[in-house]
Amino acid sequence: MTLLINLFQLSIMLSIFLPNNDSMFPDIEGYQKMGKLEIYNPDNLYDCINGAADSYLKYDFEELKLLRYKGNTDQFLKIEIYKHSTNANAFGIYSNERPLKINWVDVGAQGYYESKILNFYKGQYYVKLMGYKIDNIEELLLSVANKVSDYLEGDNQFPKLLEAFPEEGKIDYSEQYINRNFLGYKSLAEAFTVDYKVDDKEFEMFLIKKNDANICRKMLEDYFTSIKMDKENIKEGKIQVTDPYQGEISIIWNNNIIVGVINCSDIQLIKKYLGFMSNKLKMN
Amino acid sequence: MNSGINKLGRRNFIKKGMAGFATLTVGPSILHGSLLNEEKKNPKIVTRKLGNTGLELPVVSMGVMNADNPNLLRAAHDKGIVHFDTAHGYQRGKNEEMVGKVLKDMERDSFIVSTKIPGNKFDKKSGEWKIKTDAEDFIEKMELSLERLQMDYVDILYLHARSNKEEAVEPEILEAMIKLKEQGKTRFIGVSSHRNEPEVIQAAIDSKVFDIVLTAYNFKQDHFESVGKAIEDASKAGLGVIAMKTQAGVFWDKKEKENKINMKAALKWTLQNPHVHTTIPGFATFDQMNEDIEIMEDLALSSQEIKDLKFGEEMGMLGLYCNQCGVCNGQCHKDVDVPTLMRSYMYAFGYNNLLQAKDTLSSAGLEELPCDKCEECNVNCKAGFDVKAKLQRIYEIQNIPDTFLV
Repeated sequence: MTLLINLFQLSIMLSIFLPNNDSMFPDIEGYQKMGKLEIYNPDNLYDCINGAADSYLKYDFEELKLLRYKGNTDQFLKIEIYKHSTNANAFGIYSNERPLKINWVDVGAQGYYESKILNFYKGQYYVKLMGYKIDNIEELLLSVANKVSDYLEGDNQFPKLLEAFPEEGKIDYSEQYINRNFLGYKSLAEAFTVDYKVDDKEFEMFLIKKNDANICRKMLEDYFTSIKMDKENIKEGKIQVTDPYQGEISIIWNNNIIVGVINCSDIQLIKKYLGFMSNKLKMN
Repeated sequence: MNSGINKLGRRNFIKKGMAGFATLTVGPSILHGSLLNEEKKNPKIVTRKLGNTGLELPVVSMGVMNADNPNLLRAAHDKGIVHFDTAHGYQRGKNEEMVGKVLKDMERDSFIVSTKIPGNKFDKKSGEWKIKTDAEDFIEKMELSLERLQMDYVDILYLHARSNKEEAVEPEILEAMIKLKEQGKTRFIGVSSHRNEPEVIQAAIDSKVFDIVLTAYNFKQDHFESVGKAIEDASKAGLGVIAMKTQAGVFWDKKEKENKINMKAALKWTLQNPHVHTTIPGFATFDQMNEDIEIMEDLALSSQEIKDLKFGEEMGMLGLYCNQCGVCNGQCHKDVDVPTLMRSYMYAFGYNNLLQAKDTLSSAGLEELPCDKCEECNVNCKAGFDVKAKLQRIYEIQNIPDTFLV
């Protein structure tokens, strides 16, 4: 009888005959590893997580290693370790999915637990653990997460550029990294963003750092083309932008750094916050 | 019934100078989303009936998955897009939350929203289900989705990403969906698929339970003809048909990303099938949004657009597999017969013919694959394939006993 073996099953089959490189997955007392390590790359991530794959691919996803465990009765645990090209990209996908309010846990650079799921981020890795029918599940997932974190390379730090954002008025856990299509424009990319609330005024700040000033200039020129603004106004220093979809954006550009405030109508606040970042980043 | 035309008005703003914000007269804080300082253009909207649902939708809708800017949804709605598609699992719920924040400011009958919740996986080979959810869990997920969306009901609830007929009509989950529909938590129920689509669509037709199918459908699919036929059958059976993955990966050459697919042509191609009632391209920028909406000005494919869709085929860049153009011959410093190994890969992953794949691999006469010894692969594939990765992957098949392959 001829068996039809589809792509997904072939991946599993090949992994059976590959070296069992699951050393980053710890032994868990009372649980056995089920099957073999599943490994996915950008070409077949879709087979594992369907349409959600697009978000990961956007953040330069490189590899997913996945392993399942079974308990003595019908407990079940799964660990997914996503590797991205850079610390910033791993932070990007982590922050993209991270809620603002949740039960934070001390693992990796940051982690959280919610309803049988524990996710954390460390270095280039975004790690997701989930359990099913497990007693004291939060305690178990935290213990396992720390073991995985200890194995992974990288430090327990957020991307350094986030330190340039002011603390006053920052909405906790609102930091994000948008690596493509920032504000809905192909020209704007690799932006760190933070949300603020000051005296009932809500606004967003962003920071883009490129390799050199010419890249920043090109970025702004392309952006201005998209929003039909006069490119003659692009000069290092303060730039006021009227975006047809986002509204007013106040920007300071110096050399290879652009910082900005979106959706703020208070000129004093704009000056204060952009001034802070400008000083912190030593922008002239 | 929703005709799909947005009735939101325009907003006026004080135009700002460019003198720098020391002298700036700042107007009111931004009111979200609408076109501010330019005239709102009313694009031509072409609609089709969504099966027997009673809905008539613009043929271009929005897959929200790739958008992380809420103003993009607002702008799309302003331009006449009515249907917004998200899913329970996108961005761990933040995608649904974003959709909810945007749509709560709009009249409920001015939009159609869909979400998707997965069921269990069925392994055809072993005949076993991988159980991770049950009816109770499914319903809980739905309640959570409604909470995130800030709605009492969605218009379409899909059983997400089904890969075979067993998964499409999983009894317990299907019962849960019918119950949710009876409770008014969803107006319609559907099933979505991007693998074995004809089988899943046929199962949906046969079930006589589903209202809508959401399927991958584009000009680059190896099996687009059978998907197109299944779509026709579904439409004739009264189901609504919505197409996704319409723009087929954006680039012909995945590695260099130098040759972009004509996106408008790709989307138009999907709509040449009259049984596709709407599409959900996943635009992530305003330019992409405008480009997608513009196709409704003229849905017919021009001769240039037809030519553009054949570009990849002519340049050897079509599809997921090597088409044996032979450009790589002699490029490998270790004299690996790259075309033969790539053909083996195609047999394995394209045609599921593992025995043929292994035979082809053997014919290459390799005692060992030298790729591990090369830091960088100097094979420059015209189609942009990562040749080293594919060769390393297919080479493992020689370790699988033949009895597993027949």
